[in-house]
Amino acid sequence: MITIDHLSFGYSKRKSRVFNDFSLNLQEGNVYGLLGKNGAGKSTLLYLMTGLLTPVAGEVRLNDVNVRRRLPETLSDFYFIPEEFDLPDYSLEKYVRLHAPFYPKFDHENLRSNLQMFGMTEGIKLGELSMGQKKKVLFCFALATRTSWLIMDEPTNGMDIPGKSQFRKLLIREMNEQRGAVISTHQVKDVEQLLDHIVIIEKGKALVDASTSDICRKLYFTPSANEEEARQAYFAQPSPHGYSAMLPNPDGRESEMDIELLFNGALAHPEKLGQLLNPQK
Amino acid sequence: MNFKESKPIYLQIADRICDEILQGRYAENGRIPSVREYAATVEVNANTAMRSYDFLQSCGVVRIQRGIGYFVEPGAADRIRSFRREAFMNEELHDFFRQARSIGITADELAALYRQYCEKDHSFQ
Amino acid sequence: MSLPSFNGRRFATLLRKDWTENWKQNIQTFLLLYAGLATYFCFCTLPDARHAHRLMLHAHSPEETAEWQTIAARIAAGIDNSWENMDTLIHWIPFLFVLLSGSVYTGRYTKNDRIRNLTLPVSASETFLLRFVRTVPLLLFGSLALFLAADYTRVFVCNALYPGLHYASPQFSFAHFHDTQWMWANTTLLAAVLFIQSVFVAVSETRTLWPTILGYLLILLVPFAMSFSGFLYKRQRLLDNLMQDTDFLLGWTLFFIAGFILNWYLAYRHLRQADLTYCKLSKE
Repeated sequence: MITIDHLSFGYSKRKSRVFNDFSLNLQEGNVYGLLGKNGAGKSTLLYLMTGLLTPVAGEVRLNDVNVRRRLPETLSDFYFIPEEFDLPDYSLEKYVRLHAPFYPKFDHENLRSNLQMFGMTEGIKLGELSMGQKKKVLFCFALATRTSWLIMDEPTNGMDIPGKSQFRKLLIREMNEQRGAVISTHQVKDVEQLLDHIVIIEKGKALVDASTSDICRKLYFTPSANEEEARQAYFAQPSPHGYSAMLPNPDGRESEMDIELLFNGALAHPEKLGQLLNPQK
Repeated sequence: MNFKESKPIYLQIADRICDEILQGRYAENGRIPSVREYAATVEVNANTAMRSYDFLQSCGVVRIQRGIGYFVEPGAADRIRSFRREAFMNEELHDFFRQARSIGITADELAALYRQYCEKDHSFQ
Repeated sequence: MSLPSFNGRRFATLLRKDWTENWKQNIQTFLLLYAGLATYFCFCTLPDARHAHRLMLHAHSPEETAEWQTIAARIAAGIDNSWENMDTLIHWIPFLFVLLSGSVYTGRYTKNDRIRNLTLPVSASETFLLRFVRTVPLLLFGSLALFLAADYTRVFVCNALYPGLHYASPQFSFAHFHDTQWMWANTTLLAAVLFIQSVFVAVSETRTLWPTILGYLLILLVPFAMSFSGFLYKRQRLLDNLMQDTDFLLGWTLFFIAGFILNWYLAYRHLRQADLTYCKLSKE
């Protein structure tokens, strides 16, 4: 479990704080979607969760150990894939030989089958890959480390369309009750169906922190041609058939969550939706 | 899998599995893919797929054998067809009739047109 | 401050990874330095050797013959003449290496490098030891090897171009180790070099650039200024006397060693403190 405990952080004392008394709990067995506007601090939160930044106050704990201590036991239990990264200029085989020993649970067989999903082999030269291909390779490697947590910043950015589909399949296949994933992304449509839990960050706080089943219970998403209905909604935005509306759901009607609508709605009416969708409030 | 906006996704997936059963993809008492495998195939969250499987179980289309997997119940195909029949009658047919009446098509016209259609397209299942 | 866990096997894996990723650059640097140093050594020796060779073959006038006699006597005694020219400057070689060793580990990593380094599952003590091993022993032995290689090259080239002259002879001999004075002076020099290198290491890991710049300036400019202004030259005799004073040398050696330890401790502290903000961080 990842516990973010009253976290405060700012890049410099002069600028305003990015996070102030921010708390969040992440459980294994779930795929978390981390959303927020540009500059809201998604990447910063990921860096704080992986011990890459030092909190001003509070701490982040992974399995009850402060991640900032950067103990090898902690570091070998999560894998972080940043938005941009470089890979050294040798073959993947060599990369695995040099890096896999740091992850005691590494599974070579799993790596091979992961690569197969993307149609790649271990013999590829890392220096010759495009960014999208690098992301695929590192994703395969990350899954093969069998860490409890997979933390990814814009994992599908730069991936081709078949790659995105393969990414989804692979993630679903490799997740289980002992593993958790955190995906920070703007490409919501790429991962919409995978998410168990949505966290929307705004102004240093978790505006929304709810499971998708909770969201679908409390809200009703529907296309509507009815202006009256749209007016009663928490939020509605124009669409080809009139409106897409997000309404209160007192009868518990079933509908499919529209993340874009949720996101825009939460940002437009933070108080109302925050109240509804954040258990801490 | 592209999901329509109308029906909840877990029901759409349940439909897909039922289609596959009707097509003969899974035999009676035959094993269907695990929840996670199927979730990966249609690219949805495993929990959503779980809901589909639970739903099919509650309809008596599949059964679970703990530790082994999900299996097609005997008579599943017939059950599926009768569910679909009932759903069609209650929803699509109902909507169709309502529309037909509002346009002004008579019952005889409908019957004649339907008969014509059936004669023409005998091969169509 | 508790010492984080040290795992020998993990450290060995870390070493292997570091070497595999850097060996090309290391060898390249070594060869480049060798080329530069050998060229410089040859440049110092060869003109004199040519002159001596000419004298050996064509000494006519009494002055030339006398000059040749002097040179021949010194060659017979095993004294390498060219070292008189280089003597003062030769002690700048260690400083060169120190400078380069500082740049080997400058903390101006890019953000991507930092992310990779900081999320690798190794303990701080292992990372620290790696840095130490890369900086101190490797560079010491590397410097020595460089010096010897360049010197032997110099001798080889000289004897190849001017056969029969034996103008140049290798500078390093184990006889030196019996010379107590030589040992003391060079131990102090070694301690000084290690100290200066440790200053570079300590300042290069800071979050902002100015401590690094300040450190470099102090360590580089002060000695250069002193030597070029003739400060040292005027006090040559005093310096020579001091070099004979064992207590003076001992004091300085202890000072340098203390400083060395302190700087490496600071480097370790920086290592623990370092996070993603210790690099060129783009605006989040």
